[in-house]
Formats: sequence, C-alpha cells, structure tokens
Amino acid sequence: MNSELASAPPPPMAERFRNSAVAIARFPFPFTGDSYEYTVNLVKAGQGAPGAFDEHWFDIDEHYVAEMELRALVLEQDPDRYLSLPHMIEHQWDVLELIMEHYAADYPEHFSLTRDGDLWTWENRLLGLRDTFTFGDPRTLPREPLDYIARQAQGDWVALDVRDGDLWLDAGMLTFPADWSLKFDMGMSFEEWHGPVPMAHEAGVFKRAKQFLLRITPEEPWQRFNWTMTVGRRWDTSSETYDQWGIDRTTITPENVGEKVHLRVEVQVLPRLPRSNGLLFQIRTYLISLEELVTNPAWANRLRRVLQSLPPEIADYKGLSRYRQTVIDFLEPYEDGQP
Amino acid sequence: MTAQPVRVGRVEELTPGVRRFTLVPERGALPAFSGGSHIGVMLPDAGAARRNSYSLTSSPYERSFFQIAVKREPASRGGSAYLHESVREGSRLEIAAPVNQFPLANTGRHHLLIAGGIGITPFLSQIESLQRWGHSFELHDCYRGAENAPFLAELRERLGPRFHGYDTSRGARPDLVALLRAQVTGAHVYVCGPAGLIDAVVAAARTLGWPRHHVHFERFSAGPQAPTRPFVARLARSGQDVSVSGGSSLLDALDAAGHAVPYSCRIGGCGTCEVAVIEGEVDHRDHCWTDEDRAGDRRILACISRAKNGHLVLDL
Repeated sequence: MNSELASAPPPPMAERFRNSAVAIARFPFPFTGDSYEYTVNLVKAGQGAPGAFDEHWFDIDEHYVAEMELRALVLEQDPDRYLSLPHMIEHQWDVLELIMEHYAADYPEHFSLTRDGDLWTWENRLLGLRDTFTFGDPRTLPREPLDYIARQAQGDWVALDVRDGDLWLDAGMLTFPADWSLKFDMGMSFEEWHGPVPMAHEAGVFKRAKQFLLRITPEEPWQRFNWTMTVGRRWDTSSETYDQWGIDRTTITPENVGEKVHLRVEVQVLPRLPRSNGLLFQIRTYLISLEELVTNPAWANRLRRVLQSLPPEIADYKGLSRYRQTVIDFLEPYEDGQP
Repeated sequence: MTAQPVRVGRVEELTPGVRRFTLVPERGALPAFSGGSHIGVMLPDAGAARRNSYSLTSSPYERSFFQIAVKREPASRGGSAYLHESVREGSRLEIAAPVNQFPLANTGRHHLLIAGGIGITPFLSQIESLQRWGHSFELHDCYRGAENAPFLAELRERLGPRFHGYDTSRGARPDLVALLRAQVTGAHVYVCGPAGLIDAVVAAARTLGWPRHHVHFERFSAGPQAPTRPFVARLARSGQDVSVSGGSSLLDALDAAGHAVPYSCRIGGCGTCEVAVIEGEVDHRDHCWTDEDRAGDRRILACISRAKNGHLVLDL
C-alpha cells in the first residue's frame, strides 16, 4: 500500500473527505447548551443508537479508507507521528487486541479475527490485508503492535501508562491532532500535557478529571467531546506542520467562510487497558464545513450562540479569534425557530 | 457495575483454612485482566446484595476460568464463611469484573514482592505477568508453618532462587531494612499481608528515603480503627436525614436509605465511593488520599470515613 501511494501523485484528499447526507446526519454535534464551559463532560461510551457515531466504542465511517491512506502519507513524511517508550509494549498489545476484538465484533462485514490460542489471524477487507501472527510476539508482525493496528484504525490512538497516581503519555500514533504534537508531549504527565489550556487549571478541572480517569474500569469506557475549528478540510493540523496551515486563518472572508471553515469535533473514548492497566485515549476526529453544518438550522443557531459567548482566552487558544465574527455573521440568518 | 454469572467449576481445600474456587463463565470468555487485579463476589447478606473483593490467583492470560483463594476468617463479616460453607462445585455465583488497585509499575527496574500469609494471592497473577514480560523480580513470602502456606511448594519450584520463604512459626523473618537497602535504584516494592507487615515495609522504605510512588501495598482490611460514633448525614438535594449508627458505615446507611453509591474495596483503599461534602468536618479514615488531597477538597470516602462532630451535609 505504501509504495503504491509513494509513486502516485497525492490524491485530492479534500474531495474524498466531503460528507454525505448520512455523515452529516450522524455528525457528533457537541453542544448541548448555548454557552461553552470547560467541564469534564464524561459520559459512558458506546451507548448510542444504531448507526450513531457512538453506537460502538470505536466508530468507523465512510472516510475510513481515505483516512487510512492519508495517515500512511503523513507517516511517510514524518515517521515520528508514531512513538512508543520501551515499557509500553504490553500496552501496545492491549490496544491491538481491543481494536481487533471490537472491529471484528462491531463491523463483521469488514473485519475478522480468528484465534487459535496465541496464533491469531486478522483480516481487514477494507484495506485488503490478511495477517497471521503470534499474540505477544512482536517479531511476528511487520511493525510494532500499536504501529501496525493504528494504521488500520480511524482516529488517533494514545496509550497512557498509569503509575505514581498519574497518567503518562508514553506511546501513540497521532497524525490528525488539533494543534498539538506527540513528539512534544511524549513522556509528559496529565497536567503537563494540558499545560497550555487556559482557565481550566484554576478551576481544578484537570485534577478532578484525572481522579476520574484513574478509576475507569476495563468494562466501562467513557467518552467526552472536544472541539475547535479548522480552515480547509485539513486533517493534519499538528504543531509540526503549523507552517503549512497556520496562515490559512488569515484567509477567511464572508464569501469563502461557509466552504472553508470547518467545525472540528473530537469524540474521545477512554477505555482502561485490561492487561497492562494503562488507559487508552482514542481521539476520533470529525470535520464538517459550515455549509454542511447549516443544513441543520438548530446546529447553526447553537454554534452561533456558543461562539458569541466564548471567552476571549479560549477563542485565542483555539485559534479562532481572527475569523470568529465572520463565522457568527455567516450563521446569523439560520434560525431554528427557537428563542 | 454489571455482574457476570459464573459457575463454580471446582472447590479445592488447599490448607485447612484456605479454599480455592475455580469460576467458569456461563458462556463466552471472561475478561482479560492485569496482574494484581481482584474481582467482586456477590454475597447474599441478609437479603441485600453485597460484594466482597478477592484477588485473582489465576493467570491474566487465561480467559476460560478465574481462580480465587479464600481464607476463612475467624471474624468473618459473612463473606469467607459463606464461601466456605455454602458454595459447592456447581454453585452459581455472580462476580463483578476485575479491577486493579495493586498494579505493577511498568517502569520498575526490579520488583520486590513481599507477602504475608494469604497476602500471597495478588502476587500469583503478578508473577505471571513479570515472567511473561521478562522483568526482574524476587518474592519474599512469610507464612506460619508450611501446612498453612497453600502455594509454597508451587512457588518454590516455579521461582527457584527468586523465592525466599520465612516460616514465622520458627521465628524466621525478613530483615526489611537490609532487604530494601540491598535493592537497585529504580526498584519498586510491593507488600500485601497483615497490617503490621505493611506498616513495617512502609516504615523501612521511608527510613531509607524511597520515593513514595515506589512503595505499593494492598490491605485486606481497614486495620484497627478509632471508635465509631453515630452521626447524621443530611442529603442536601432532598433534605433527607440519614442516620449512621456506630456499627454501620455511611456507605451502608446511604444504601439502606435508597442512595446507592458505587464502591469497590470497602476499606478506604480505592476512592470509588467518594461523595462531595457541603458542610461538616470529615474524620478521614481512608488510606487512599494524601493529607494534601484531604486539605484541598471537601469529599468523603463513604465506606470508611465518618463525621467528626456528629453531622455532615452531603451533595446528594
């Protein structure tokens, strides 16, 4: 797959990520009120209705193949988007097992996992892969277990080690982050990697959140939303590529705002890793252009109110300050009949 | 927390006081778990569902059965007596999924395991992990006579020179300070057993300047407690007053009053049953929080802590 992509010119990815009516209907719109506050906002994962983004622990959608091909390109240009410290090998197998088990059970038309003791056969029909390997023996896989499976699983995947009463960012694959960097945050503790977030430290949000996360049990994963905005249908907005996308924020006009500005929603799913006792931090990212979003006037109305009430520190942190008013003006005409 | 039905496949009398129960799933596989995990076993206790925790002694890589080893406690609160007297091969039980409050530190350069009596149980699954991943470790096992040490022969054979036994009925005891002093930098120590042994290891580690997070322990019971006086907890949202008698815990009193709070260990070790306190002074009796945690937050662990001055107002 990699060599083929390397020799071909980059496909027009933005086109491939356009949302169908189905994708819009199941978009994880994150706002339940008209103002935005930092809260831990955790709910149980995988409890959604059939077809919803949260029906299963790990959601895949119509962008699966495009996202995996884009991921391969990003990794080719910057192999450090996958990193793992040496003590994380058991966590890696945990993540591999969790993804394979859940994908095979939840999407049997695309994936299957057959186990004969430690001899496992994994089939991924969407990417045309079939591999037999020995669970627990990294020599039987073409890559490290987390590297192998995260290249086949939508969203970014971070494995946290739990020790010393804290959570440590010690392994992961991060090709589609919202302005952060795996290489920069590697080895940091929970409060260290949340360092740049304004207002929330003072409110004690992170301390409370960490206590909560440390008590997640393997049988009961939790999920939360995070959101920001991105200019263009651009998945890779990592700190490493800021030079390529940062400038886009200055290009928003009333004419292009609907097409260019995207609401970027992360559905973060947090299962306890059963064998290593670590915590998995899955970040499943969804992008929707404002043009797509306003097909639902209730969302347009609510997003406008959220942006109007957003404290300036948070708008700055999310990089929205330059074009926030342009977005509000664009959303203004969409009324859902609610006061 | 959901309960999973299991069937008791086998009951073995390992020693006169200790029975091993093999639990098999009614269907499918059991969940994967990490070394040091325990399960909750539901016990019919005066009509109310109630759960006791037991360390899993089987391999974390075995998903077709779980094993627990239960010592009959002379002062049983009902759990061990029930399992010893009423549970037979073929009995059906309900268990809560594994939880680990005694995990191995993956970054440890060497793992020093110290067990006292039935405190050997969480180490059995940890040893499986340590051996599988090739970590450096040693086990020091204190027992009162070989006839009371259910896993002694098996461990001796399996661990060879990594096993160190101390028959306390013959006066043998580990020199804890010397043992901890001999460890490499970056070692972690884990202790499970009677309160006296845990306290001695913690004290030795402190004397030698070990980092707090390199010292791990798991207790079976809350240990000796100060006298328990009755108090009243007012539930702020409903205004209801819940009386907690001297012989009862806040957790049980809330449960009886229809306010079930999630819990796990019931001995103030895990923090699951935390409740926010609006008013009143808390008599903290847990060994879960540091003084810093207690000072900054108005919370109580309902399973063990109490009111200092007769009343509390809870955010419930």
